[in-house]
Amino acid sequence: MILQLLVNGIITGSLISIMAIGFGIIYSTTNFFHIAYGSVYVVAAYIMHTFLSWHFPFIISLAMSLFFAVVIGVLIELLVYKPLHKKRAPQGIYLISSLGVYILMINITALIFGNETKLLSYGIEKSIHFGDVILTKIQIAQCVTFILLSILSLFFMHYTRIGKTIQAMGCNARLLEFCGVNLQKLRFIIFAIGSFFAGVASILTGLDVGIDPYMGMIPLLNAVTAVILGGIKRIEGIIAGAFFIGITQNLVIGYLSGRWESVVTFSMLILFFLYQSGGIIKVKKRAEEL
Amino acid sequence: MPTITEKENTVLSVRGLKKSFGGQAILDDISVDLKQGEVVLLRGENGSGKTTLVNILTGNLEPDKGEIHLNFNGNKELFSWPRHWWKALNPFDHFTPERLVWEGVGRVWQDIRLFPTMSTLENVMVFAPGLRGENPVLALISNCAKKENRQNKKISSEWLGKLGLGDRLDSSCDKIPLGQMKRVAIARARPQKPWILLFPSSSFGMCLHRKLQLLFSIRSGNG
Repeated sequence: MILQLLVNGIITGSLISIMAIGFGIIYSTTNFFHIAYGSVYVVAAYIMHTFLSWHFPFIISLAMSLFFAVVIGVLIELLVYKPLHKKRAPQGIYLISSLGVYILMINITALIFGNETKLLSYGIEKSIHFGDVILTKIQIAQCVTFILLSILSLFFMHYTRIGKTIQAMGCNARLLEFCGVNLQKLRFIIFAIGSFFAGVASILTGLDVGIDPYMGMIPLLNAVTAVILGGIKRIEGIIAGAFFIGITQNLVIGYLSGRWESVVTFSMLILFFLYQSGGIIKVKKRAEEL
Repeated sequence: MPTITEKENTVLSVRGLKKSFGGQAILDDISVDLKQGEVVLLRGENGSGKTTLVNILTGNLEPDKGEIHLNFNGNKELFSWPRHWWKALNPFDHFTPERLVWEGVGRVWQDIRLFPTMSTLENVMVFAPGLRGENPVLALISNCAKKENRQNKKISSEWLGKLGLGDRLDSSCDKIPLGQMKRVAIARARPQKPWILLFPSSSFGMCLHRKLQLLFSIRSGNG
Protein backbone atom coordinates (compact mmCIF):
# COMPACT_ATOMS: atom_id res chain seq x y z
CA MET A 1 0.00 0.00 0.00
CA ILE A 2 2.80 2.39 0.90
CA LEU A 3 4.28 1.98 -2.59
CA GLN A 4 0.94 2.80 -4.25
CA LEU A 5 0.56 5.85 -1.99
CA LEU A 6 4.07 7.04 -2.87
CA VAL A 7 3.40 6.62 -6.59
CA ASN A 8 0.09 8.48 -6.21
CA GLY A 9 2.05 11.17 -4.35
CA ILE A 10 4.52 11.45 -7.23
CA ILE A 11 1.66 11.83 -9.72
CA THR A 12 -0.04 14.48 -7.57
CA GLY A 13 3.36 16.14 -7.14
CA SER A 14 3.83 16.19 -10.93
CA LEU A 15 0.54 18.02 -11.44
CA ILE A 16 1.24 20.46 -8.60
CA SER A 17 4.75 21.02 -10.08
CA ILE A 18 3.41 21.97 -13.51
CA MET A 19 0.95 24.42 -11.94
CA ALA A 20 3.55 25.73 -9.47
CA ILE A 21 6.32 26.31 -12.04
CA GLY A 22 4.00 28.62 -13.99
CA PHE A 23 2.80 30.35 -10.84
CA GLY A 24 6.37 30.60 -9.52
CA ILE A 25 7.69 32.28 -12.69
CA ILE A 26 4.97 34.93 -12.38
CA TYR A 27 5.25 35.34 -8.61
CA SER A 28 9.05 35.51 -8.50
CA THR A 29 9.14 38.32 -11.06
CA THR A 30 6.04 40.38 -10.28
CA ASN A 31 5.99 39.77 -6.50
CA PHE A 32 2.23 39.50 -6.15
CA PHE A 33 -0.21 36.61 -5.83
CA HIS A 34 -1.79 36.14 -9.25
CA ILE A 35 -4.99 34.52 -7.95
CA ALA A 36 -6.61 34.90 -11.38
CA TYR A 37 -4.14 32.15 -12.38
CA GLY A 38 -6.77 29.75 -11.01
CA SER A 39 -9.33 31.12 -13.47
CA VAL A 40 -6.92 30.65 -16.41
CA TYR A 41 -6.67 27.03 -15.24
CA VAL A 42 -10.47 26.65 -15.31
CA VAL A 43 -11.09 28.45 -18.59
CA ALA A 44 -8.39 26.42 -20.39
CA ALA A 45 -10.19 23.20 -19.43
CA TYR A 46 -13.56 24.56 -20.63
CA ILE A 47 -12.08 25.68 -23.96
CA MET A 48 -10.74 22.14 -24.40
CA HIS A 49 -14.20 20.78 -23.58
CA THR A 50 -15.85 23.18 -26.06
CA PHE A 51 -13.56 22.20 -28.94
CA LEU A 52 -13.97 18.50 -28.15
CA SER A 53 -17.76 18.92 -28.10
CA TRP A 54 -17.52 20.54 -31.56
CA HIS A 55 -15.82 17.29 -32.66
CA PHE A 56 -12.42 18.81 -33.28
CA PRO A 57 -9.57 16.29 -33.07
CA PHE A 58 -7.96 15.96 -29.63
CA ILE A 59 -4.65 17.53 -30.68
CA ILE A 60 -6.32 20.63 -32.20
CA SER A 61 -8.54 21.03 -29.12
CA LEU A 62 -5.43 20.79 -26.96
CA ALA A 63 -3.54 23.36 -29.05
CA MET A 64 -6.49 25.78 -29.06
CA SER A 65 -6.97 25.37 -25.32
CA LEU A 66 -3.31 26.18 -24.62
CA PHE A 67 -3.39 29.07 -27.09
CA PHE A 68 -6.43 30.62 -25.41
CA ALA A 69 -4.93 30.03 -21.94
CA VAL A 70 -1.91 32.09 -23.04
CA VAL A 71 -4.15 34.78 -24.59
CA ILE A 72 -6.28 35.04 -21.43
CA GLY A 73 -3.18 35.26 -19.22
CA VAL A 74 -1.74 38.06 -21.36
CA LEU A 75 -5.11 39.87 -21.48
CA ILE A 76 -5.34 39.82 -17.66
CA GLU A 77 -1.88 41.43 -17.54
CA LEU A 78 -2.80 43.96 -20.24
CA LEU A 79 -6.22 44.99 -18.92
CA VAL A 80 -5.79 44.65 -15.15
CA TYR A 81 -2.19 44.51 -13.96
CA LYS A 82 -0.59 46.86 -16.50
CA PRO A 83 -2.73 49.88 -15.48
CA LEU A 84 -2.02 49.05 -11.81
CA HIS A 85 1.70 48.73 -12.56
CA LYS A 86 1.66 52.14 -14.26
CA LYS A 87 0.07 53.68 -11.17
CA ARG A 88 2.63 51.89 -8.95
CA ALA A 89 -0.23 50.34 -6.98
CA PRO A 90 0.63 48.55 -3.69
CA GLN A 91 0.65 44.73 -3.53
CA GLY A 92 -2.71 44.63 -1.72
CA ILE A 93 -4.46 46.28 -4.67
CA TYR A 94 -3.03 43.66 -7.06
CA LEU A 95 -4.24 40.89 -4.75
CA ILE A 96 -7.80 42.24 -4.51
CA SER A 97 -7.96 42.95 -8.27
CA SER A 98 -6.68 39.48 -9.02
CA LEU A 99 -9.27 37.94 -6.71
CA GLY A 100 -11.94 40.05 -8.48
CA VAL A 101 -10.82 38.76 -11.89
CA TYR A 102 -10.87 35.19 -10.55
CA ILE A 103 -14.44 35.50 -9.21
CA LEU A 104 -15.63 37.25 -12.40
CA MET A 105 -14.17 34.63 -14.73
CA ILE A 106 -15.36 31.67 -12.64
CA ASN A 107 -18.89 33.05 -12.53
CA ILE A 108 -18.95 33.76 -16.27
CA THR A 109 -17.74 30.19 -16.87
CA ALA A 110 -20.44 28.79 -14.55
CA LEU A 111 -23.06 30.96 -16.27
CA ILE A 112 -22.13 29.70 -19.74
CA PHE A 113 -21.35 26.04 -19.02
CA GLY A 114 -23.30 25.33 -15.81
CA ASN A 115 -22.10 24.16 -12.41
CA GLU A 116 -22.13 20.42 -13.00
CA THR A 117 -18.98 18.36 -13.58
CA LYS A 118 -18.15 17.70 -17.23
CA LEU A 119 -15.83 15.11 -18.69
CA LEU A 120 -12.97 15.61 -21.14
CA SER A 121 -12.54 11.89 -21.80
CA TYR A 122 -15.30 9.29 -21.68
CA GLY A 123 -15.12 5.61 -20.76
CA ILE A 124 -13.11 3.78 -18.13
CA GLU A 125 -9.35 4.29 -18.30
CA LYS A 126 -7.48 1.07 -18.79
CA SER A 127 -5.22 0.44 -15.81
CA ILE A 128 -1.66 -0.85 -16.06
CA HIS A 129 -0.18 -3.02 -13.31
CA PHE A 130 3.45 -2.68 -12.22
CA GLY A 131 3.64 -5.34 -9.49
CA ASP A 132 1.48 -4.01 -6.66
CA VAL A 133 1.23 -0.55 -8.18
CA ILE A 134 -1.70 0.35 -10.45
CA LEU A 135 -1.50 3.27 -12.87
CA THR A 136 -3.81 4.62 -15.56
CA LYS A 137 -2.63 5.87 -18.95
CA ILE A 138 -3.50 9.46 -18.10
CA GLN A 139 -1.45 9.22 -14.88
CA ILE A 140 1.54 8.06 -16.93
CA ALA A 141 0.89 10.96 -19.35
CA GLN A 142 0.86 13.36 -16.37
CA CYS A 143 4.27 12.10 -15.20
CA VAL A 144 5.81 12.15 -18.69
CA THR A 145 4.49 15.69 -19.35
CA PHE A 146 5.89 16.84 -16.02
CA ILE A 147 9.33 15.38 -16.83
CA LEU A 148 9.39 17.02 -20.28
CA LEU A 149 8.15 20.41 -19.03
CA SER A 150 10.47 20.49 -16.05
CA ILE A 151 13.53 19.70 -18.23
CA LEU A 152 12.41 22.36 -20.70
CA SER A 153 11.80 24.97 -18.00
CA LEU A 154 15.12 24.25 -16.25
CA PHE A 155 16.97 24.56 -19.58
CA PHE A 156 14.98 27.71 -20.40
CA MET A 157 15.72 29.41 -17.08
CA HIS A 158 19.37 28.40 -16.73
CA TYR A 159 20.74 28.31 -20.28
CA THR A 160 18.86 30.87 -22.34
CA ARG A 161 19.16 34.61 -22.57
CA ILE A 162 15.46 35.20 -21.81
CA GLY A 163 15.63 32.84 -18.82
CA LYS A 164 18.48 34.83 -17.32
CA THR A 165 16.58 38.07 -17.98
CA ILE A 166 13.54 36.64 -16.15
CA GLN A 167 15.78 35.67 -13.22
CA ALA A 168 17.26 39.17 -13.23
CA MET A 169 13.75 40.65 -13.17
CA GLY A 170 13.07 38.64 -10.02
CA CYS A 171 16.12 40.28 -8.40
CA ASN A 172 15.56 43.89 -9.47
CA ALA A 173 13.02 44.80 -12.15
CA ARG A 174 13.84 48.52 -12.13
CA LEU A 175 17.52 47.85 -12.79
CA LEU A 176 16.60 45.70 -15.78
CA GLU A 177 15.23 48.77 -17.58
CA PHE A 178 18.79 50.08 -17.62
CA CYS A 179 19.86 46.91 -19.43
CA GLY A 180 17.69 48.04 -22.36
CA VAL A 181 14.98 45.50 -21.58
CA ASN A 182 11.37 46.42 -22.30
CA LEU A 183 9.82 45.48 -18.95
CA GLN A 184 6.25 45.49 -20.24
CA LYS A 185 7.10 43.11 -23.08
CA LEU A 186 8.91 40.85 -20.60
CA ARG A 187 5.86 40.84 -18.32
CA PHE A 188 3.68 39.73 -21.25
CA ILE A 189 6.13 36.89 -21.96
CA ILE A 190 6.11 35.85 -18.29
CA PHE A 191 2.31 35.79 -18.12
CA ALA A 192 2.18 33.85 -21.39
CA ILE A 193 4.60 31.19 -20.09
CA GLY A 194 2.82 30.95 -16.72
CA SER A 195 -0.60 30.64 -18.34
CA PHE A 196 0.70 27.93 -20.69
CA PHE A 197 1.70 25.85 -17.64
CA ALA A 198 -1.74 26.46 -16.03
CA GLY A 199 -3.39 25.26 -19.25
CA VAL A 200 -1.32 22.06 -19.36
CA ALA A 201 -2.01 21.27 -15.68
CA SER A 202 -5.70 21.95 -16.17
CA ILE A 203 -6.09 19.63 -19.17
CA LEU A 204 -4.10 16.82 -17.54
CA THR A 205 -6.31 17.06 -14.45
CA GLY A 206 -9.51 17.41 -16.49
CA LEU A 207 -8.74 14.30 -18.53
CA ASP A 208 -8.36 12.35 -15.28
CA VAL A 209 -11.14 13.59 -12.99
CA GLY A 210 -13.37 15.88 -15.12
CA ILE A 211 -13.90 19.63 -14.87
CA ASP A 212 -16.14 22.06 -13.01
CA PRO A 213 -16.00 25.85 -12.69
CA TYR A 214 -14.67 25.71 -9.11
CA MET A 215 -11.81 23.31 -9.79
CA GLY A 216 -9.15 26.09 -9.86
CA MET A 217 -8.80 27.17 -6.24
CA ILE A 218 -7.34 23.99 -4.67
CA PRO A 219 -4.63 23.52 -7.36
CA LEU A 220 -3.84 27.23 -7.06
CA LEU A 221 -3.43 26.97 -3.26
CA ASN A 222 -1.32 23.83 -3.68
CA ALA A 223 0.85 25.68 -6.22
CA VAL A 224 1.22 28.68 -3.88
CA THR A 225 2.19 26.33 -1.04
CA ALA A 226 4.71 24.49 -3.26
CA VAL A 227 6.30 27.79 -4.32
CA ILE A 228 6.62 28.99 -0.71
CA LEU A 229 7.76 25.60 0.62
CA GLY A 230 10.26 25.04 -2.14
CA GLY A 231 11.72 28.53 -2.42
CA ILE A 232 10.54 31.22 -4.78
CA LYS A 233 13.71 31.83 -6.75
CA ARG A 234 14.53 28.37 -8.11
CA ILE A 235 12.51 25.95 -10.21
CA GLU A 236 14.31 23.00 -8.56
CA GLY A 237 12.96 24.23 -5.21
CA ILE A 238 9.44 24.62 -6.56
CA ILE A 239 9.51 21.03 -7.88
CA ALA A 240 10.85 19.77 -4.54
CA GLY A 241 8.08 21.66 -2.72
CA ALA A 242 5.41 20.25 -5.05
CA PHE A 243 6.57 16.65 -4.55
CA PHE A 244 6.77 17.17 -0.80
CA ILE A 245 3.12 18.29 -0.78
CA GLY A 246 1.96 15.60 -3.22
CA ILE A 247 3.52 12.74 -1.27
CA THR A 248 2.45 14.13 2.14
CA GLN A 249 -1.15 14.59 0.95
CA ASN A 250 -1.35 11.03 -0.34
CA LEU A 251 0.17 9.57 2.83
CA VAL A 252 -2.37 11.56 4.87
CA ILE A 253 -5.22 10.27 2.68
CA GLY A 254 -3.92 6.70 3.01
CA TYR A 255 -3.22 6.61 6.73
CA LEU A 256 -5.54 9.28 8.20
CA SER A 257 -8.43 10.60 6.12
CA GLY A 258 -9.10 12.68 2.99
CA ARG A 259 -10.50 15.37 5.30
CA TRP A 260 -7.05 15.98 6.77
CA GLU A 261 -5.34 16.51 3.40
CA SER A 262 -5.71 20.32 3.29
CA VAL A 263 -5.19 20.69 7.05
CA VAL A 264 -1.77 19.04 6.84
CA THR A 265 -0.79 20.97 3.67
CA PHE A 266 -1.58 24.38 5.11
CA SER A 267 -0.14 23.51 8.54
CA MET A 268 3.13 22.82 6.72
CA LEU A 269 2.80 26.20 5.00
CA ILE A 270 2.46 27.97 8.38
CA LEU A 271 5.42 26.02 9.82
CA PHE A 272 7.58 26.95 6.83
CA PHE A 273 6.59 30.59 7.15
CA LEU A 274 7.60 30.50 10.81
CA TYR A 275 10.81 28.46 10.69
CA GLN A 276 12.07 28.19 7.07
CA SER A 277 10.76 31.29 5.31
CA GLY A 278 13.20 31.01 2.40
CA GLY A 279 11.89 27.57 1.42
CA ILE A 280 13.61 24.19 1.03
CA ILE A 281 16.16 25.62 -1.44
CA LYS A 282 17.07 28.94 0.10
CA VAL A 283 18.88 31.75 -1.71
CA LYS A 284 21.22 33.27 0.87
CA LYS A 285 21.69 36.99 1.15
CA ARG A 286 24.57 39.09 2.41
CA ALA A 287 24.14 40.87 5.72
CA GLU A 288 23.90 44.25 3.91
CA GLU A 289 20.73 43.19 2.12
CA LEU A 290 18.86 41.76 5.11
CA MET B 1 16.76 79.57 -24.01
CA PRO B 2 19.61 79.12 -26.53
CA THR B 3 18.77 76.50 -29.16
CA ILE B 4 21.06 73.62 -30.08
CA THR B 5 23.40 74.28 -32.94
CA GLU B 6 24.95 71.17 -34.39
CA LYS B 7 28.69 70.93 -33.91
CA GLU B 8 31.02 68.33 -35.24
CA ASN B 9 31.64 65.35 -32.92
CA THR B 10 29.07 66.54 -30.37
CA VAL B 11 27.28 63.43 -29.13
CA LEU B 12 25.15 65.04 -26.44
CA SER B 13 23.76 68.56 -26.19
CA VAL B 14 21.57 69.74 -23.37
CA ARG B 15 19.92 73.16 -23.36
CA GLY B 16 17.94 75.01 -20.71
CA LEU B 17 17.31 71.96 -18.54
CA LYS B 18 15.12 72.66 -15.53
CA LYS B 19 13.99 70.30 -12.80
CA SER B 20 12.15 71.05 -9.56
CA PHE B 21 11.08 68.82 -6.70
CA GLY B 22 8.15 70.12 -4.65
CA GLY B 23 8.58 73.64 -6.01
CA GLN B 24 12.31 73.77 -5.19
CA ALA B 25 14.45 74.15 -8.31
CA ILE B 26 17.28 71.59 -8.30
CA LEU B 27 18.47 72.26 -11.84
CA ASP B 28 17.88 75.61 -13.49
CA ASP B 29 18.87 76.42 -17.08
CA ILE B 30 21.58 73.77 -17.37
CA SER B 31 23.40 73.47 -20.69
CA VAL B 32 25.98 70.78 -21.48
CA ASP B 33 27.88 69.74 -24.60
CA LEU B 34 29.76 66.43 -24.74
CA LYS B 35 32.05 65.59 -27.64
CA GLN B 36 33.09 62.16 -28.83
CA GLY B 37 36.17 60.87 -26.95
CA GLU B 38 35.91 63.45 -24.18
CA VAL B 39 36.24 62.53 -20.50
CA VAL B 40 34.36 65.14 -18.48
CA LEU B 41 34.27 65.58 -14.71
CA LEU B 42 31.13 66.98 -13.11
CA ARG B 43 31.81 68.44 -9.66
CA GLY B 44 29.50 70.00 -7.11
CA GLU B 45 28.44 70.23 -3.49
CA ASN B 46 26.24 67.57 -1.93
CA GLY B 47 22.67 68.20 -3.03
CA SER B 48 23.70 70.44 -5.94
CA GLY B 49 21.90 68.20 -8.45
CA LYS B 50 24.67 66.05 -9.99
CA THR B 51 22.75 62.81 -9.57
CA THR B 52 19.51 64.48 -10.69
CA LEU B 53 21.24 65.53 -13.93
CA VAL B 54 22.57 61.98 -14.45
CA ASN B 55 19.11 60.59 -13.69
CA ILE B 56 17.64 62.83 -16.38
CA LEU B 57 20.35 61.99 -18.93
CA THR B 58 19.67 58.25 -18.40
CA GLY B 59 15.87 58.54 -18.65
CA ASN B 60 15.27 57.84 -14.97
CA LEU B 61 13.63 61.25 -14.51
CA GLU B 62 11.96 63.64 -16.94
CA PRO B 63 12.90 67.34 -16.71
CA ASP B 64 10.24 70.04 -16.41
CA LYS B 65 11.74 72.06 -19.26
CA GLY B 66 14.61 71.92 -21.73
CA GLU B 67 16.01 69.97 -24.67
CA ILE B 68 18.25 66.90 -24.95
CA HIS B 69 19.84 66.20 -28.29
CA LEU B 70 21.64 62.92 -28.96
CA ASN B 71 23.82 62.37 -31.99
CA PHE B 72 25.35 58.90 -32.06
CA ASN B 73 26.96 57.78 -35.29
CA GLY B 74 24.71 60.02 -37.39
CA ASN B 75 21.59 58.79 -35.58
CA LYS B 76 20.00 61.99 -34.26
CA GLU B 77 17.34 62.15 -31.57
CA LEU B 78 15.76 65.22 -29.99
CA PHE B 79 13.75 65.18 -26.76
CA SER B 80 12.13 68.42 -25.60
CA TRP B 81 10.04 69.45 -22.60
CA PRO B 82 7.34 70.31 -21.78
CA ARG B 83 6.14 67.34 -23.87
CA HIS B 84 3.11 67.81 -26.08
CA TRP B 85 0.15 65.59 -25.27
CA TRP B 86 0.24 63.82 -28.64
CA LYS B 87 3.81 62.70 -28.00
CA ALA B 88 2.60 60.86 -24.88
CA LEU B 89 0.25 58.86 -27.12
CA ASN B 90 3.08 57.57 -29.30
CA PRO B 91 4.26 54.29 -27.73
CA PHE B 92 7.57 54.44 -29.64
CA ASP B 93 8.58 57.92 -28.52
CA HIS B 94 8.80 57.61 -24.75
CA PHE B 95 11.71 58.99 -22.77
CA THR B 96 12.58 55.87 -20.77
CA PRO B 97 15.81 54.30 -19.44
CA GLU B 98 15.33 51.40 -21.84
CA ARG B 99 15.05 53.74 -24.84
CA LEU B 100 18.19 55.66 -23.84
CA VAL B 101 20.16 52.43 -23.45
CA TRP B 102 19.17 51.56 -27.00
CA GLU B 103 20.20 55.06 -28.14
CA GLY B 104 23.64 54.56 -26.54
CA VAL B 105 23.61 56.04 -23.03
CA GLY B 106 25.16 53.77 -20.39
CA ARG B 107 25.28 54.25 -16.67
CA VAL B 108 27.01 52.98 -13.56
CA TRP B 109 25.45 53.63 -10.15
CA GLN B 110 26.86 55.43 -7.16
CA ASP B 111 25.65 52.62 -4.89
CA ILE B 112 25.93 48.94 -5.80
CA ARG B 113 23.01 47.63 -7.80
CA LEU B 114 23.57 44.05 -8.88
CA PHE B 115 21.32 41.07 -9.41
CA PRO B 116 22.39 39.43 -6.13
CA THR B 117 21.51 35.79 -6.76
CA MET B 118 23.23 35.70 -10.17
CA SER B 119 26.91 35.18 -10.92
CA THR B 120 29.26 38.04 -11.85
CA LEU B 121 29.34 36.80 -15.46
CA GLU B 122 25.54 36.58 -15.68
CA ASN B 123 25.27 40.09 -14.26
CA VAL B 124 27.41 41.44 -17.09
CA MET B 125 25.76 39.26 -19.77
CA VAL B 126 22.25 40.47 -18.90
CA PHE B 127 23.34 44.02 -19.74
CA ALA B 128 23.76 43.34 -23.46
CA PRO B 129 20.59 44.64 -25.12
CA GLY B 130 18.90 43.52 -28.33
CA LEU B 131 19.98 39.88 -28.55
CA ARG B 132 17.80 37.38 -30.40
CA GLY B 133 17.63 35.23 -27.28
CA GLU B 134 15.23 37.74 -25.70
CA ASN B 135 12.51 36.07 -27.76
CA PRO B 136 11.46 32.92 -25.83
CA VAL B 137 10.89 30.83 -28.96
CA LEU B 138 14.15 31.86 -30.64
CA ALA B 139 15.98 31.31 -27.33
CA LEU B 140 15.01 27.63 -27.47
CA ILE B 141 15.35 26.85 -31.18
CA SER B 142 17.54 29.42 -32.95
CA ASN B 143 21.21 28.65 -33.50
CA CYS B 144 21.88 32.36 -34.11
CA ALA B 145 20.51 33.15 -30.64
CA LYS B 146 22.78 30.51 -29.11
CA LYS B 147 25.77 31.82 -31.08
CA GLU B 148 25.04 35.40 -29.96
CA ASN B 149 24.78 34.15 -26.38
CA ARG B 150 28.21 32.48 -26.64
CA GLN B 151 29.70 35.66 -28.13
CA ASN B 152 28.16 37.75 -25.35
CA LYS B 153 29.61 35.33 -22.78
CA LYS B 154 33.07 35.65 -24.33
CA ILE B 155 33.00 39.48 -24.40
CA SER B 156 31.63 39.69 -20.87
CA SER B 157 34.29 37.26 -19.55
CA GLU B 158 37.08 39.22 -21.26
CA TRP B 159 35.85 42.50 -19.84
CA LEU B 160 35.53 41.07 -16.32
CA GLY B 161 39.07 39.71 -16.76
CA LYS B 162 40.32 43.20 -17.64
CA LEU B 163 38.91 44.48 -14.36
CA GLY B 164 40.67 41.72 -12.43
CA LEU B 165 37.64 39.47 -11.97
CA GLY B 166 38.69 36.69 -14.36
CA ASP B 167 38.77 34.16 -11.53
CA ARG B 168 35.39 35.27 -10.16
CA LEU B 169 33.20 34.63 -13.20
CA ASP B 170 31.00 32.02 -11.50
CA SER B 171 30.93 33.63 -8.05
CA SER B 172 27.49 34.65 -6.87
CA CYS B 173 27.28 38.43 -6.63
CA ASP B 174 25.98 38.30 -3.07
CA LYS B 175 29.10 36.49 -1.89
CA ILE B 176 31.93 38.64 -3.26
CA PRO B 177 33.63 41.55 -1.44
CA LEU B 178 32.19 45.04 -1.87
CA GLY B 179 35.13 46.29 -3.97
CA GLN B 180 34.59 43.44 -6.45
CA MET B 181 30.85 44.17 -6.55
CA LYS B 182 31.76 47.70 -7.56
CA ARG B 183 33.91 46.40 -10.42
CA VAL B 184 31.12 44.08 -11.62
CA ALA B 185 28.79 47.09 -11.65
CA ILE B 186 31.32 48.97 -13.81
CA ALA B 187 31.96 45.98 -16.08
CA ARG B 188 28.24 45.76 -16.89
CA ALA B 189 28.35 48.99 -18.85
CA ARG B 190 30.64 47.39 -21.46
CA PRO B 191 28.30 44.95 -23.29
CA GLN B 192 25.91 47.83 -24.01
CA LYS B 193 28.65 49.48 -26.13
CA PRO B 194 27.47 52.93 -25.02
CA TRP B 195 28.39 56.17 -26.77
CA ILE B 196 28.17 57.99 -23.46
CA LEU B 197 29.02 56.34 -20.15
CA LEU B 198 28.05 58.13 -16.93
CA PHE B 199 29.92 57.22 -13.73
CA PRO B 200 28.38 59.05 -10.75
CA SER B 201 31.04 58.61 -7.99
CA SER B 202 31.33 54.99 -9.06
CA SER B 203 34.93 54.50 -8.06
CA PHE B 204 34.12 55.43 -4.45
CA GLY B 205 35.26 52.56 -2.21
CA MET B 206 37.82 51.23 -4.71
CA CYS B 207 41.55 51.17 -3.99
CA LEU B 208 43.82 53.70 -5.75
CA HIS B 209 45.30 51.02 -8.03
CA ARG B 210 41.82 50.01 -9.29
CA LYS B 211 40.73 53.64 -9.66
CA LEU B 212 43.75 54.35 -11.88
CA GLN B 213 43.20 51.13 -13.84
CA LEU B 214 39.58 52.11 -14.41
CA LEU B 215 40.49 55.64 -15.54
CA PHE B 216 43.11 54.36 -17.99
CA SER B 217 40.68 51.77 -19.37
CA ILE B 218 38.07 54.44 -20.02
CA ARG B 219 40.58 56.88 -21.51
CA SER B 220 42.15 54.29 -23.80
CA GLY B 221 38.77 53.36 -25.22
CA ASN B 222 38.62 49.97 -23.56
CA GLY B 223 36.01 51.35 -21.20
